[in-house]
Amino acid sequence: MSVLDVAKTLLRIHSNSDYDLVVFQFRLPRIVLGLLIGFALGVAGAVIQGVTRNGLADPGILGINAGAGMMVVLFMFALRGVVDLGGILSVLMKPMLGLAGGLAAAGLILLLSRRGGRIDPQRLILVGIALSLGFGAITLYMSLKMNPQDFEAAVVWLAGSIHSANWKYAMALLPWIVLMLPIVWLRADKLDVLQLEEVSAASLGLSVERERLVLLVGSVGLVAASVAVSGSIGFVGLIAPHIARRLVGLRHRRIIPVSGLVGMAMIAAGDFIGKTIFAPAELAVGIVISIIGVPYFVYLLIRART
Amino acid sequence: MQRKTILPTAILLMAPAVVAFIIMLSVLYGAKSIHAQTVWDAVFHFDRSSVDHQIVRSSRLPRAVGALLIGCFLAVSGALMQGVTRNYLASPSIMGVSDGSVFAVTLAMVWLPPAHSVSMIVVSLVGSAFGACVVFGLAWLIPKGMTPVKLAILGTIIGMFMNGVADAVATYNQVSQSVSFWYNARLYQMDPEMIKLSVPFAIVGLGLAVWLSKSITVLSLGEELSAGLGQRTAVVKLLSMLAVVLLTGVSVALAGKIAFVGLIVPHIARMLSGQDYRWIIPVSGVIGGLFLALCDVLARFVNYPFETPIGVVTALFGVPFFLYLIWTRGGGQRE
Amino acid sequence: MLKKYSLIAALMIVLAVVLAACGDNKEDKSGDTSKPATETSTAAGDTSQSQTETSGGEGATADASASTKVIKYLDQEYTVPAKTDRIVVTGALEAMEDSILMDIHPVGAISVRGKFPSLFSSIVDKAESVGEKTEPNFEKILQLKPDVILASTKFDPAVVEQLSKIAPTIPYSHVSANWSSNLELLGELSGKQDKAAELIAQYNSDLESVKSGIVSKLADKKVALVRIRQGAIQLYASQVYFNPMLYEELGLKMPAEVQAAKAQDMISLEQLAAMNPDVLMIQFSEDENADKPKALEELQNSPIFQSINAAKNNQVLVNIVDPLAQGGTAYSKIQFLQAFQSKLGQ
Repeated sequence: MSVLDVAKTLLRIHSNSDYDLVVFQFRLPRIVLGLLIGFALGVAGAVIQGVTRNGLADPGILGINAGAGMMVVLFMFALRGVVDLGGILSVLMKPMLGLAGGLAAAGLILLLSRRGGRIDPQRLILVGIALSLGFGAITLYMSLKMNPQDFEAAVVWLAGSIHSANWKYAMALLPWIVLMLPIVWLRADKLDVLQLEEVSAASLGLSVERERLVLLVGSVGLVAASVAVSGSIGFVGLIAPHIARRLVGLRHRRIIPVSGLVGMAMIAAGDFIGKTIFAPAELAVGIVISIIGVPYFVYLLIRART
Repeated sequence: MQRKTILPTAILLMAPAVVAFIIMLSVLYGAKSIHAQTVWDAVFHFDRSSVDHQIVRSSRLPRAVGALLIGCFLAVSGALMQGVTRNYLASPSIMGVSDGSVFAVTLAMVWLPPAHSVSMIVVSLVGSAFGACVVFGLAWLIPKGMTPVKLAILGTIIGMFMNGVADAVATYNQVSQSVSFWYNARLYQMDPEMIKLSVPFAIVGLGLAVWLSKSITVLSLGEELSAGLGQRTAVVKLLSMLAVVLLTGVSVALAGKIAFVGLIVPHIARMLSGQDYRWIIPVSGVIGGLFLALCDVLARFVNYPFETPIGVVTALFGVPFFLYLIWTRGGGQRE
Repeated sequence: MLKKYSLIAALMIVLAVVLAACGDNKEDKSGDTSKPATETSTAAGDTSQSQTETSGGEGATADASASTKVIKYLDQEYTVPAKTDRIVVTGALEAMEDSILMDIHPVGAISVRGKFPSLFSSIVDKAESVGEKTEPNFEKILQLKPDVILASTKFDPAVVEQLSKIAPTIPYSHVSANWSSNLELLGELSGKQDKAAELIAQYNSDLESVKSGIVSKLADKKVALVRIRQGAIQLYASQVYFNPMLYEELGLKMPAEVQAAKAQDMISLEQLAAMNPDVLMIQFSEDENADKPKALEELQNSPIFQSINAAKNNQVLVNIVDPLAQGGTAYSKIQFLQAFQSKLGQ
């Protein structure tokens, strides 16, 4: 299909049912879903880096991805095609489980990172890593026992792929973004204040603990929802905020949306590369981003030092 | 300080006896119970046609010995890393060293099969060196990069990156399940030949570790302090990294990635013998070996009669311990 | 500031458009196909309308007789075009295996590592690859204009849904108990129902004769089948792989270890020796052992292995069936039965 055909289909000139199918049912949902995921992860990354005051924080290491993955693999292992709900429900089964797993993991992390009743950002990251390792071990254990065919499907999901994107997934993710984005963006200024030491922040009238919690819940929700529909895509939330920071400075009011946009671009590019490089086999977008993103990130870090 | 050295000395003295005991335990109990008398005979009056003797010799003994050795190597690596970086979370598996090995071996598996034992070990060593360099190099570049949190994150990220690349290569070659088999180590497939081949490397590594232990004690007190005491910190760091690379590389080549041993055991050693690395390192070695051997015995029985990957068993101990460490130590640099 | 924003926004939009436009440029044939007249069905699986589209040069296609038929498969009804010659197989290697038996040549098939395994060479002469097993390439499939798509019951429902937008999609069962229904399905689709019935009848009678011959010989012997993957020995549960054949259909005695196994379990050589089967079948595929290609050799040379009864009495059968065979399909079963009879029957 040429660019012209695409344009014609989009504009409904001389529409052809095949083209319609390709554009509206295959390509468009995939692009849209990718953009939504990129946006969600970019924003979540910016918020988490802000709350933990740690430029290396990435939503992926918090264990949410691993928790969601574990739930999904558990489901694949335990139910293996036995349950058939038909229709919308069965399509959304995996995402729902992923969401449940991700949220449960997130809850556990938040719970375990409390020190003296307050959430310690440093501890948050470490607990996340520990839980990731734990969930990962369980997931691998189950996956080794699975039939290799089931396992391959699990691996694809775990690696982060938007291959079977469809409008239902996009619709499942959208509400989360619509809900969470205002929650975190409206607090952007407070996020700026949180960059200061706790004492100073508190003395400026900020109820540090509560703001932190709300911001974390918001970003964690975004991450869990994205992971639910796409599997584990890491590094977007790590790198996008850095790029955003270089583009628009340090104020979170700007960083949050820009980070989202950068995330979108990353996923769009990553998916494109993943689809074409080994065609007709596909490389999952999560892997593409790992491979390209990390060296670029290292480069950013080196630049930042000088 | 005299009192503090009693416990570690005792441990080291008892070590051979405990080791023998663990070997016995490991060899006696397994898929099939074998009587002590049979084991004795297998070692000393070997009868080629007896199945039991064969089992003892080619399967259980190598497995027990392998577990002891690998546990020792990983624990010593962890102790070295924790001493040099003054970072309570430093360990081969979290800091990308093991991942580096696995990465290198995966690529080798796909692109240059079949691999001889020696070349596997060398590849693995190159991999761990690569992993270590990347992670520590980055940590050094980033301001405050050597804090436990940042280093842990870097290790995790680089680990994920290497896994990602390995996954891509594996997917393209349709060997996806094999990659995860590698990540979950297989102690029960210990190859006695490979064990013998890895001994020289291990000896160098362990030797270095012991030789450096005094310097590491000084280093662990603080960067400025040790420089002020006239120590050539750069040399010490480099040599200890070399030891880590050797020991970890050999371990991964033998059995794949086993996490948490290098993290947990040095802490236990420290609890028992204080802050002096001249004790911590050998004690870590002993306890590490015993710990892994025990985990191996457990791995055989958790899902009887089937094998459980040892990584799962170590994680069973490791994750709660990790959480406990986080609880008590927090995220900043150690004092 | 604004410039930067617009730069980013522009970048993104460009990327998105590029994505949308390029896609699979390689396989570009023009959209209005000049393929021979086929009925294209863009109905989802459960509608009962099917549209016929005439392509360039064709006269009005005759649709006087019913243009669809209803197929019943595993308690579900599927409406497919009356002529189902153009079949695309995706996700279910089982379907490909059974196609060998039924001599069905799909127009789209699964590739493994980028090519078609030699096992399927007899049926892929007309086929193009539609991607690897778990990730079918939707656009490619659409281009092939299939009449019906055979998916897999192991697929993510989202994938099946996308596929059903292209053509009626039937999830092919991976459960070995449904092997005969699978054959019958293929029979209906290809119009070769007789062949399917014949194969099933043949199998059942062969099974009976093998059973009566073998039952006396192997009645109290321990027979087991394992597969080597990445150098590790895998034992399977009673309902998985070839085990239903061995223990249910042929009625051999099921070892305790098989009973204890869930799905696929790793068993150490030592444990295998403890199990001590009298007859041991080993499946070994180089594809699945890329990191340990010598695993089979090493295993057979190991003294522990040689102490097993099966090894001592020369009753070790390597790759009794093609190692890529899935085990539960009609093809696997028929091959297995034949091999079993010839190697152990007399």
